[in-house]
Amino acid sequence: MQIWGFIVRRILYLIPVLIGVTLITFALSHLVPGDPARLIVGQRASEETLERVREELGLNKPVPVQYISYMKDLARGNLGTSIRSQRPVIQDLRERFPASFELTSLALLFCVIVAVPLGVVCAVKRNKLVDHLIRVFALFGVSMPVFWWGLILLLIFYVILGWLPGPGRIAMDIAAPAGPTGMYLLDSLIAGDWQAFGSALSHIILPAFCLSYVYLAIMTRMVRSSMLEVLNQEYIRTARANGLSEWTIVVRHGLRNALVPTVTILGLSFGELIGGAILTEAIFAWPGLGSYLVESIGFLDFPSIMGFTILICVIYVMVNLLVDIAYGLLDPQIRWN
Amino acid sequence: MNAANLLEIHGLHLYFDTYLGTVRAVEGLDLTVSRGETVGLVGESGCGKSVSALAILGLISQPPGRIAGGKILFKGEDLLKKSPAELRNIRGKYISMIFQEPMSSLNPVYRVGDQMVEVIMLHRRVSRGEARKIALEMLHEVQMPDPEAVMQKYPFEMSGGMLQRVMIAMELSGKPDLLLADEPTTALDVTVQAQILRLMKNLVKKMNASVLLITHDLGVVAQTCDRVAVMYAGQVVEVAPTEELFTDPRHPYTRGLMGCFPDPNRQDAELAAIEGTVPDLINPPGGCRFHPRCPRAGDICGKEGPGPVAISDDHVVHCFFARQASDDHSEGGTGKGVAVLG
Repeated sequence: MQIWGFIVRRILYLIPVLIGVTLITFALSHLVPGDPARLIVGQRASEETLERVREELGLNKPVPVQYISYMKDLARGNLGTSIRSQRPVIQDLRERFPASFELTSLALLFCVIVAVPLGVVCAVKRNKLVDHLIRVFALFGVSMPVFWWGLILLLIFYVILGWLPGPGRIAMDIAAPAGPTGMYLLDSLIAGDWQAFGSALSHIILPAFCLSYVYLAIMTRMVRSSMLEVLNQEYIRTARANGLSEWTIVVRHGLRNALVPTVTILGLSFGELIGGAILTEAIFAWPGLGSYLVESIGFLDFPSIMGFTILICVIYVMVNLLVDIAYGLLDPQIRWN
Repeated sequence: MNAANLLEIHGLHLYFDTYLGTVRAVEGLDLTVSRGETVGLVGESGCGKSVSALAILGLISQPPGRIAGGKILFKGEDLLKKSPAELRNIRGKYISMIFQEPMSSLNPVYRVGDQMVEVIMLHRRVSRGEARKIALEMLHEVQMPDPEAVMQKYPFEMSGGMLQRVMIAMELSGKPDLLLADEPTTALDVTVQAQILRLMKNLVKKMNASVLLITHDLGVVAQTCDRVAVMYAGQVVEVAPTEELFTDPRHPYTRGLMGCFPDPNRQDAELAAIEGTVPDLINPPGGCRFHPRCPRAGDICGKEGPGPVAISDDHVVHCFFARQASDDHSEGGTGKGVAVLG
């Protein structure tokens, strides 16, 4: 099957990309002003202590040697020790990651479920009232900052109406579901704990919507414009001339062709969202990667920041791989080139 | 309506509303196609040939298009009065259409076979397996080498000529009464062109289908059509049996077209061009639309439109000088610029 060759080739392309990423993060850690050893020991420590910490961290060795030992550590999954928590960075990230992943996945799922139909409706009903309304809705999403939405939504649904709970991942008086994934929705489902599931779901709705709105807006417009382009193609005219129903034409012949650019946006959004949900996570006190980054920056916790960066880069690259594979599945022409 | 006529178009007016004004693309088109007949619709780019064909299938998007008048009778029923659902049932089943660009006429993300099967299942109400069989048969009919393999291919893996065969197979699979072929060979190599035309002609004959062949190429017309309608600026100016049109063209425009066509018997002859340009269809010239370019236009031509003049039973010309025209022609053509310069 040519699709497998395509996937293997794409995976091989990842290797140089990931090496490039480590080079950049490593270079950045050596370019930032300030001495990590001094940060660890504090301003009042003696020169000897400083020297000792430098040696411990390997900072007295030549830069290429440092890079190699850094790579060795990376290969073993060792991202260093967080200055703030005094725990391995990888452990911190492992704890925070499921919360972000859960939030992002749900936000994007919501995004796709809403944006694709809206975009298609816009394209089919071009310049009609419904098209204008949806475009205004989308314009709103692109224009309003996420923290504004977050606060307004909290004010309305939590403070005024009281329909949804406030910040956090789950109600205080409900035990967090213990499970293999660390994602509360999944774990509570696995455990069959409906109370926890309900609480987790009601907690995630607002931040997920908040996070998705901008991307939902962008994607709606994207689907609309690529759909409009596709609907003008000659094969659509052929399909019409063959007497196919409008639904078949739009969904079967149009949408699949229009999805290629949409999948690109989806992939990019996922990469951005997983690490970039900083504002949303801060507003909703969501204990994910974004809020971890904010806390780490406050502490000048370099190992954590670098670990975060590498993790996000790896995710980003992996998502791009998935996007490439999706291209291949959607458009047979891409498989062949 | 004459029972022998499968398609009758009466006084079709087709306008497009644009920012610059209303483009009167087709104005008073009359055309008939009888059963089993192949009719050529000939004219320059932009004269309204293609939009007329699209109008038959109800594929003109409105707006910007607008059917401002006329009737399109298919088997005696006015297609312009059909509901969208009724039209969908006619498309591909009773009237099919082949387009100019085979490369872009098929969906790039689906296999050729699946696209054929989809259409066959829709119109013949058969199972998927049955539809596959019909598709294979049709591919065989269009002399496609290795039809099984072709079914598995994507459009971008095939050449234009091969794709046009697929299109013909697909469009004839519903056994339509009428095939609209819009410049079906224009995008193809000349050698392939002849093959495709022959193939189409034979298949259509076998199925006793009628064809409306739209082209700007008189060579194609000579090769395939029983009758020809020459169109200029949204109107039919001359209709005649193919042979008669070539031997005795009456309308100055038709004769201009002939002049643009190389005559192998006269190697010294330079090709003539029709002077002037295609008229602006937002403000078309009054009277006969051809009069500003016509070598023999008189005072009357700019004032009123010429009615039909019957030269014989099936040769009709819209020209005030239709009856005199043949004399000029026998002299080898004279006048400003239209004639063949010897």
